[in-house]
Amino acid sequence: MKKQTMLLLLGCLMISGCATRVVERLDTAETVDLSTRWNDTDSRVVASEMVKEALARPWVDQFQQKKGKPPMVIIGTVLNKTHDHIPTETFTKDLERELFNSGRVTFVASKSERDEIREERADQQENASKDTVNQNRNETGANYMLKGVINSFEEQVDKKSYKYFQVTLEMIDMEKNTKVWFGDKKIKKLMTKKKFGF
Amino acid sequence: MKIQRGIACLFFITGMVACSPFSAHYSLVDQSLAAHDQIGADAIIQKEEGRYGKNNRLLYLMDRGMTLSLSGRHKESNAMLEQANRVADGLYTESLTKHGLSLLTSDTALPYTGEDFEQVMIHLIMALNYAQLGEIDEALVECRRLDTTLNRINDADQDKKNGYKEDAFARYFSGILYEARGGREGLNNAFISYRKGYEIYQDWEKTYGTPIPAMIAADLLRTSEALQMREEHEAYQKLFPTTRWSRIADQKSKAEVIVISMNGKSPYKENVYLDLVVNQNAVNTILATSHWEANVGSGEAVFSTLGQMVRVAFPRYVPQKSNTRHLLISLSGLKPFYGQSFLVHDITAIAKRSLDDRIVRISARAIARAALKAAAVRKASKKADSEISGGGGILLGKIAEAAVALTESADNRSWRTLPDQIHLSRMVVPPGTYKVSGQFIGQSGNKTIDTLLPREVTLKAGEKRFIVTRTVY
Repeated sequence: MKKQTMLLLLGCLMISGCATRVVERLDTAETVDLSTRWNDTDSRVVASEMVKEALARPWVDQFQQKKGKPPMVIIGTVLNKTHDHIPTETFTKDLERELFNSGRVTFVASKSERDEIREERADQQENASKDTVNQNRNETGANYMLKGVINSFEEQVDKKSYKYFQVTLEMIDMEKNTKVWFGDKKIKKLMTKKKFGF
Repeated sequence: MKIQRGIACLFFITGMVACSPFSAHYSLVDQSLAAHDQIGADAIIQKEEGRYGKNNRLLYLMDRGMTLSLSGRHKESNAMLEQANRVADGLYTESLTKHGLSLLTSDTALPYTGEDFEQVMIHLIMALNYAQLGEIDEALVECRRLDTTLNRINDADQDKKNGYKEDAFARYFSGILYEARGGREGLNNAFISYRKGYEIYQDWEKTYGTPIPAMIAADLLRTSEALQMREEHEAYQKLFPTTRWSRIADQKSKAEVIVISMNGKSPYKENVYLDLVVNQNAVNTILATSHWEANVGSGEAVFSTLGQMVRVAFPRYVPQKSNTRHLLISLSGLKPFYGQSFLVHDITAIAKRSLDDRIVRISARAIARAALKAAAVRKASKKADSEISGGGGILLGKIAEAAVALTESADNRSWRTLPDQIHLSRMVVPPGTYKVSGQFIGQSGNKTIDTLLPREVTLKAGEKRFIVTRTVY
């Protein structure tokens, strides 16, 4: 009895002496899954794979042959229809980066970026010198818009939690309103919670 | 030398139990708030800083954050609550330490870590502060931190069936802020928040008796329509066929006044004492197992007609229910507008339920601690008896036993400056200058003695203006 009590007291003291914080730096490419929620790896992997798929379709080459220049793309909205907050801006930036790095398309600034630039240009009309002022009504229009939806489905039974994401993206011809590419990517995650004593 | 050691041991054991945290100043704080003297209330908390002490630092920061916010010193309130968040976060990562030490001492001798709902309230009050300052982007940072905190609570408590895992009002208020931010992404996040809020309110209605706020139907219809979510919009149209709502495009030329009213006083904790006869051998055996918490709580072998008497203290919430049913708001301008607040958050119900969910675990720890202390007193008493002649050891042992029993106290700490309930009202009005005033209405439909003090606001098209008020009645 005495031994057990002493062991317990010692154990308590040992535990109390062990609590420290350790911060580790990780490779940003490393996958860290702490829950079934959407994370940076999902964003990066889905963007990379879907952009590869989109560029493998004939619409890019067809445009290049017809116009003699790469198509101009604008990233539209990726609508989050899941039940969780997802930083969709991070995802659209991942898409933009992948498309840009491919070297096969060029970009125009997004709506929110354009608004800021227009405000600055309006200021230039008033305050900048004639040599440096940028002219209004000289913007480049995009040929295609990339937009999409993220959907999810989830289920929890006992200690298991299952989540399914479906990302659907489409490239739309802005002149004809036709869809030149349509792709989707699915992610399934299963988390099993283990219970520890004490 | 030996005698001194025996006596020292007895005094150490009686010293393990900590005194209950002080609380006398809260009645003075309430008196100041009742007189709309928020600055006075804040001064009382500030004056008591030293008495809170190191272990109640989180309580001081939360109390101060609340009274500074009510005083209109929103930036200072946020600085205080930011510190509170860091303290709570630091203590959360050291939870193993808490478990270990709490067996050796009283829970009140340990740093206060805050209830889950109190940790959520830290971010909510910060978001309210930023919203009143008109800093929507900063308020949204708190919404994202709220989301992280709620996800953490949810992940940690998946086994609980009805515990506090989510916060409907925190989600709903996030929706208002995301909508205020605007843009397609803001609107998208507003819809996600409103939908989460609606789903959680359905649970809250069953668990806490908090009705689903009627306005949420219009919010879901408005945002799903603006986002062209046809499937979702049609489903909500079927679900809320009689709800009147207006399109976002039609609201762009209007402004909105959002009044948040904090009503009454939060519940406080008190001790409930139980004298138990425990079988010391059984307790020691169970304590040596890995699932001791569950076993002590339910193991019948622990309780025996033959054994040692121990006094155990458990915490219990004492409600201080608000007499306010709602707030009637009037906006006097070129044309008058009237609104009414609705219950959106019942803090007392949540606090009570959260404690009920943990009471088995708390009880098990309290019993285990009491049994350990009793065993230690008995052992030290025997030692002192063998060392002190003339029955002095027995007397000292009895004094120690009585001291342990008399000073046994549960952890009665809680964020006392929170209200009993939170109410909210949304009024969409044309831009212009208005005098905003209000009258609190009691449970029996009578006017209470408290009012929303009149103030003038000038609203621009598309603007959302946040007003927070407090009544202790």
